[in-house]
Formats: sequence, C-alpha cells, structure tokens
Amino acid sequence: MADIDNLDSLSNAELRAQMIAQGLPNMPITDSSRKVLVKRLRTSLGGNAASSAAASPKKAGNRRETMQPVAATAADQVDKSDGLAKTRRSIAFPASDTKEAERRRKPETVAAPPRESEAVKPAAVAAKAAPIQTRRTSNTEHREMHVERVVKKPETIVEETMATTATTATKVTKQHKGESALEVNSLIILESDEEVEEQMSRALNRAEEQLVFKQKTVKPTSKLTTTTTSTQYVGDSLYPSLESTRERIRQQPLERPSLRYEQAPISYSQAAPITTSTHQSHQYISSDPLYPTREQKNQQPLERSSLNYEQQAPISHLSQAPRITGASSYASSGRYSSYLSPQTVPVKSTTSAAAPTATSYRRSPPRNYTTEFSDDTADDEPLSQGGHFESDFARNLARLRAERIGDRGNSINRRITGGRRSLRPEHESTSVVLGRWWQSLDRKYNLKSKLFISMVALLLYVAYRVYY
Amino acid sequence: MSGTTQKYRNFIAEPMGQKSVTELAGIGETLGGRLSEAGFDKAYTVLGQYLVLKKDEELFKDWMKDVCNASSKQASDCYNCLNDWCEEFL
Repeated sequence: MADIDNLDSLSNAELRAQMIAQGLPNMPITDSSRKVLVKRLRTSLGGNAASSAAASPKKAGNRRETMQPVAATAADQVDKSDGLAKTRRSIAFPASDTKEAERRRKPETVAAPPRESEAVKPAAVAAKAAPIQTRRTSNTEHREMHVERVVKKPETIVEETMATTATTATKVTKQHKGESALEVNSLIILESDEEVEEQMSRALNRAEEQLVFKQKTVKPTSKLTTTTTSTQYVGDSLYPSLESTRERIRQQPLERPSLRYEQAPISYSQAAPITTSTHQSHQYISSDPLYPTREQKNQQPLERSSLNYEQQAPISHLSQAPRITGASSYASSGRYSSYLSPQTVPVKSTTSAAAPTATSYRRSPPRNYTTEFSDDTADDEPLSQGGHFESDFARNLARLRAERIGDRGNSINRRITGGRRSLRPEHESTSVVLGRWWQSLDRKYNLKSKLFISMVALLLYVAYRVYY
Repeated sequence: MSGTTQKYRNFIAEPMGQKSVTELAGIGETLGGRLSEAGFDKAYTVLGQYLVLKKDEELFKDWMKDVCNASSKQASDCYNCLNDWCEEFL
C-alpha cells in the first residue's frame, strides 16, 4: 500500500522499474505519459476496489449506482455463495423490499431451516419472481402458453359439444343459425371450396325462392296457366293437387320468408335424391312436414319443366322460370351438375316424352342464373328494382328457350350466340332488306345525287320537247 | 466501424506534414485548444505521444481522456486515424 501511495513521488526511472517489475511493458516515461503510466501501474499493483475506484471513479461509481440498488448491495455480498441466479433475482426486487432481503439472509445465519423456508415460500415469492423468470425463459413461456391454449380449447369444445349433443334438433338449428349467419354476412371468407359451393347454392336457392314467392304473390294467374297434366308424383296422397299447394302458398305469404333460412340447408342436403326417384322425394317431404309447400315447390319443377317446356310460349314461361331453376339449382355447384345429369333420365321416363328437352333445360338455367348472380347488374340493382331483374331473367330465359335444342350442346356457343342473337331481329321484312340494300348502294355509288341529276335532266328534256 | 468520415479520409490520404492537431479525426476546435494548451499543437506531436505509448490503444485513449477530456468516441477516432496513418506511411 505504501508503494501505491508513493507512486506519484517516484522518478521516471523508478517508475519504469516498477512497471517492469509488475510485468507491464517497458514504456518510456515522459512528462506527458507519466500520469497514464502511473495509473496503469497503480491498477496492476493494487488490485483492490478502493484503489481502482480511485483510479477510475467514473466507471465504477456510475455502474454500481445505476445497476444495483443500495439495499441490494448489502444483500449481494451475503448472497455470493448462492450463485448467480439469486444475485440476479435481487434486481427484480426494489431496494425497499426488506422482507426479501431478510428472507435471503436466513440461509446464511441458520443452517438447516432456510431450505425449508425457501421451499415453503416459493409459492408466495413466485408471484414476484415470475416476471423475471418468464422474461428470461422465453421458450418455456411459449410452451406454457401453448399448453394453456390446448387446455382451454377442449373446454370450449366440450361446452359446445355438450350443448349440441343435448338435442339433435337444437344442433341442427344452431348449425342453421351459423349457416344463416354466413349467408346473411356476405363478407365472411369461407375456407374451403366446398363451403363456398354450398353457400353459393344456398344463396341461389334463397334467391330462387324469393323469385318464386314474388311471382306467386304478384302473378298468381300466370302460374295457374302452367299446370302439369299428369304425373305420378303429383297424384300422391301427400299432395292431392298442385292447386291446393298454390293456395297454401298464397295463404302463407308472410311466414315463408322468415323460415327460408333454416329450411334451405335441409333442402340442399337432400336435393340429390329428389332427382333420382320420386319415392325418395316423398320420403324427404315426409321427414319435414312443417313446410310442405316449399318442398312441393322444389319438386314441382322437376315434373313441370319436363312437361311444359316445349309447349308453352316464352312469355308464359317467364313465371315458371324461377321455379324451374329452383329445382335445378342443386346442380348449380359443380359437383351436383355432373351428378344429376345421368340420374335424371328415369324420372323423365316416368313423366313424359319431352324429357330430353327438360334435361337440357335443367342444365342450362343454373348457368344462366349464376351468371345473373355474378353479373354486376344483379349486385348493382337495388332491391326496389327486383321486378326489373325478374324481367331480365325472364327475357334471357325466353331467349334460351327459343334456341334450338341442337345448339345447346355447347354452352359457350349458346351463350355467345344467344347474346348476339338478342341484338339482331330474326325476321326482317323485305322492305327493310330492300331499304338496307338501297342504302348500301347509295353509300357505294352515290346513287341519290346521280338520280337527282338524271331526273332533273329528264325533266328539262321533257319540258324542252313539250315547249319546242 | 460504421463508416469513415471525410476528415479521417483526408488525414489518411497524405503525409501529415505540418497539419494542425485539429485535422486529426475526432479532434475539433475544443479538444484541439486543450491539446494546444498542453503543448500538442501539431498532429505529429500527438503522433509522437502515440508512438511513445507504443501504439497501445488503451493507454493512448486514457491519455487523450486525461489530457483533453476526450470522450471514448473521440479518443477512439483519433487512435484509429493515427493507427491507419502509421500503417500507411510509417
């Protein structure tokens, strides 16, 4: 210590000797470098905290003050034997936390009990120490979070399953509510294509039902004109006549829209059997007796379209068009469109001879209907212009019906030709044709002016002959 | 190093000659005035001190801090400047 205090009084040579003795490099001692070299020598000689703190007061003083609390410094010296973890833990507690300091001093003073006390207290201490632990062990924290999620999820699922398995009817209604919520909220993004298809088909069903409902309420007489003549299905005991069903529809105009959402999925799930055979369709109807008119409405087009398709004028079909598409809307999704076509043959054989036309007609409307839905016109039109939409649809339908059957083999060609055909009049009178021919000639040869000149010349010639 | 300053590049580009101490990187007017008061008015005097301390980075920085109250960055910039100049021209 005496050497350290006398360093400043040493000469340059003595100082250099001291540095060499301490293993420091042999540096030239000058007036400018003496101070720095003395500092270096002092640090190497002393090694104690006091001298080093005196040598560099800024470093040591600042770091200790900022990093460690004042009360923790006393506890830190006591906890040196505990290891690094405890000294770090002391950072978490404020300087005023004397209880923690006392608790941590106990292991030093008492030999055996402190472990027990530490073992007992961790639960109480864990609340305070938790933040640091979680902060340090971020990986374990994530694992715990995952475990919590896994634990929580089954609970919610169990609750849902408990609620759903309580009664199947409520389950079905809940599903329908969810589906209806999906239907109502069009902004929900569906994950799978199947759901999208189902939702699209349901939306089509709903729209068709709305159209049918509107047409039935607005134009009841036109629907009566499109009655079916004879089918096994119509003569069934459940539905004695179509007129009775229409009367029911008229009598229940306000109840149906509210029930439409819940009924749509059921009708869709059992739509495929309807086309396969009439018996299955009867089973389906009997399963849901609350709303027979709707099922009738869905099944009637199967028969009516096959019977009245070729015989009716296009205008008379306008009223039936939505109903027919309602029956064929199950084929609107890609899965059922390919599924229905071969199986609809036996149904048609039982109904009438005009079945092939009906099949071609059944396939065609969904495409047109989907295009109607996908078009901007359908979305842009407000609800107040629903009649206008119906008229467009009816016009397209009439145009399609006016086409030849052979032209329907290719849907693309049919679509293109139909659109062009609508722009041109099919039957033109001869006068119109001659007028066009004359206009084309006039444009090409400027016949009007020539004729005018020739007529004037002829008149002059005639006048000359008359007077002279 | 994040990058070199124009002052550093200018000092490294040529022999220091009779350049002022303020042309060293990291030394401005304030530190240059303090160094001049301490007798280090030219860059080569600071280079001499750098060489006296045997190019020891820690000693040179401590000396800079002791003589002109330079900050760690200023001392480091000056040391790098002299060190690179020595590698180039010495």
